[in-house]
Amino acid sequence: MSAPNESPAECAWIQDQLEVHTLGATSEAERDRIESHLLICPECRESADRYDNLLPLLGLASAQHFPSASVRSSVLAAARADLSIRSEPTIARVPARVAPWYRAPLQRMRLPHVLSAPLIGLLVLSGAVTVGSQYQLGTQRDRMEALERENAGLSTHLDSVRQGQIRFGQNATVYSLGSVDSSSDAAGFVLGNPEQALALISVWNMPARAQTYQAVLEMDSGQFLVVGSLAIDESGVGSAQVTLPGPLAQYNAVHIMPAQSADLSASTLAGNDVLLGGLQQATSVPTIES
Amino acid sequence: MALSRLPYEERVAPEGLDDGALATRIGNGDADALGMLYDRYSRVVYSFALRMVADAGSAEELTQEVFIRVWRQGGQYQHSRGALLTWILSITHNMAIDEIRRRKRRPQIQDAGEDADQLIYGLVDARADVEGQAWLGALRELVRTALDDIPVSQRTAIELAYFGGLTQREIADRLGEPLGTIKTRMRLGLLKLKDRLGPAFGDGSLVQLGSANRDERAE
Repeated sequence: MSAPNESPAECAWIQDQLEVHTLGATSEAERDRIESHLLICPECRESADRYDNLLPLLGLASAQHFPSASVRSSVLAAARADLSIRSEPTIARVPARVAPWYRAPLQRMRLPHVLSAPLIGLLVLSGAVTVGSQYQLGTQRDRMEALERENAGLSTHLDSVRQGQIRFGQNATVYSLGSVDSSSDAAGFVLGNPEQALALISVWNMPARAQTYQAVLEMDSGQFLVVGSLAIDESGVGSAQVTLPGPLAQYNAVHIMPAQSADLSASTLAGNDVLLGGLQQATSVPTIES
Repeated sequence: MALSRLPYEERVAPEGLDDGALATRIGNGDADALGMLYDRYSRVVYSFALRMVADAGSAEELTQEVFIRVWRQGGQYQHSRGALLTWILSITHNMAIDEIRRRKRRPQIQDAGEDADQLIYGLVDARADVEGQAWLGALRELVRTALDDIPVSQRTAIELAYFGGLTQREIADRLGEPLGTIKTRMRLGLLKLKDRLGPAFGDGSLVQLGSANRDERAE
């Protein structure tokens, strides 16, 4: 591998190669050249890092499959075996009988043995103070972790809000979808901007697994319109981005129901609705500075 | 359910632990925490690996190796450097690329078909937290939409490199296009992806199931 080159021309070449390199599509020689440059050039390193949190997410775009149950067992068995190795007791070595450790330094300092007791007491005292401080630090750390855990729900809430604001702007609004059947755990949400004709719908705990559901808009005129479908996976979860004919605020409600005939009326919906959410009763979303 | 309730207000997993707390416990040698993490992300890891190596047996081996590596390196995970999911997906990608190169053969650059679906259908892990899966589903939808938004030629070049482990020259040979064209497609495609996903996902905080990086959020 040649010596790293810091020249502007090298930086320009690196910048030209960064996307290809990030995707792992450079040759081995090019990879070496780029990696050695990135070690010495903070500007190019920063450019390369901008994809670090982004590219792995492409993995989410893969069709979803389940590993067999034996994989879980193997992982946990390996972890527990690893744990038992970590905690295996070590054989204690019995030291040879030697003079007390403090005797030699005292002799070197030509101090009488009678001073050893107060010196050792001093050492023990300072050790106790250190241990006490460590204990207090540990307590503070535990308390901090407990606070972090308590705030997890709030952080999660902020996630949703921030996502909405980034994708749908400051007017991002969350409309919750509730189950029509009170005995069902099905739930969901509609995320969108009331002034935009775009929304993200996500549902979970849907009663019939591996089915297709449809999202139906209820309009002021009493008419209904199918705006999209949601493929529900084996765990009862589904989500879809839907495009509406007009701004979200124009409509009364969203119904989620099994995909069926185009005959949509209040009477047919009444028997088939699984989830229902009012679009005129938006949850207020607080403003968060990004 | 009250309409005023936000859906992810209580999106901490039913087990009561967010990603950060799980990583801490795993770092401390808590095998139960590893089990919870597995239930949360094994499907995503396996699906990603399956897409790359195109073989169910190898994908299961990779899934196992990924979680064992998470177990052994859990203490090294740094919350401030990105979401746990992103870290796990990076490990998956690196191990799958190693596997592809080790086998010195190229995988099929496509998802496993219906056969694989049928094979694994019904093996739903009942332990998986459904709200967490719903959140992953929403993330998946956003990523898919962003990928669908970029031109097919650019998407193909990106997928052949990222999922297939091919070099730009190999992609150029396979597609019968000049090398410069392939490089340009990758570059434009990635820049578009970054435009679409970067504002939301660039700092990794939105990928964090449970708690997120409050320092970054507070900025």
